[in-house]
Amino acid sequence: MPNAEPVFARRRDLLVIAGLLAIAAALYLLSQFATGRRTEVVCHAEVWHQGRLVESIPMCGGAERDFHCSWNEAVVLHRYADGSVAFVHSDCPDQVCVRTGRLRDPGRFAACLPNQVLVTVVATTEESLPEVDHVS
Amino acid sequence: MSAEPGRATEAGRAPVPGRQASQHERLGRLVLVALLFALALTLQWIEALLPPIPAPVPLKFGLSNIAVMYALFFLGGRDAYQLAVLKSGFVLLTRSVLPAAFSLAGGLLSVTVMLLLHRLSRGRISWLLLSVSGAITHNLGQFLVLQLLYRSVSILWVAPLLLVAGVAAGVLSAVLLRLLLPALGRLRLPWGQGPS
Repeated sequence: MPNAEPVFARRRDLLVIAGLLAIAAALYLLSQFATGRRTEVVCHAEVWHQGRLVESIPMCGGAERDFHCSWNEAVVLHRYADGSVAFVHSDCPDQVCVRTGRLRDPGRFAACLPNQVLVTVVATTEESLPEVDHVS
Repeated sequence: MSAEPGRATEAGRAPVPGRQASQHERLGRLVLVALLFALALTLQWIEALLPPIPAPVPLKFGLSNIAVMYALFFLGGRDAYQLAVLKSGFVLLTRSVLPAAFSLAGGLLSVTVMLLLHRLSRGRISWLLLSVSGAITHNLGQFLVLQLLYRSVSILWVAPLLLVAGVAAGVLSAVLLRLLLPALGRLRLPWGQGPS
């Protein structure tokens, strides 16, 4: 069967695009539902720098405090009293990490690519984890 | 416009299948790939000047994919793969290993998916859908690498954002490529006219 002459767009493309957006909406609802079911999970935040795990921040039972990254004092994480963590300051130009906001549920992450820092939330059964001295 | 990825079909557009490409043709193809690579880098630079997309995860429009799409439509899959690898190599030289790995995974996955979709649909799929699928899989490839490296990362919560951003970037790339075609069509390819 010969190839059809390619076209820029067809009307039915709108249906496909609408379908993709509907899938996006369904996935959003699914993630919100999953988030609601995980509120009781004990978590800690892992801080990765250049592919190395440099810090584990317990997210339960700790007081509010800032965590300054030793390799770049301009990158600051904050642990809130409600058990969430967030980038609160960074010297990166795009500020995507700060805009990500608070992280609380397992699997959530925030990345500061210019500073090569990644923070992920991991479910854990331990109440507290040792903090290493890369982030103080 | 003829645009079969992997083998342009319009008469005079590409070397005749089965015939050994002349040195002139091979040189012309090499020059065109180099020009497209320069175009991709220019588009990357322009994109870096734009304000960041207000999103909770790092997202880009991926304007440089226009050059990859052009290569895929008018030169073939091999040249499109070549451009994707070259782009990643440039990221490796100017940034670091991790962004280069993201770029390579996204680029290779998007070219592969666009090629497969075109072949499976026997050329009936439109450029717009090819572009949208390429943009979505480009994002997906990057986040799959992220998940491979950091097992604790879940892409479920960013999947809706990746889909919506992919649709937007794909539509934008397809429209821009269409606008660029008259200029690219003025290129005198050694095996005939460029796209018209």
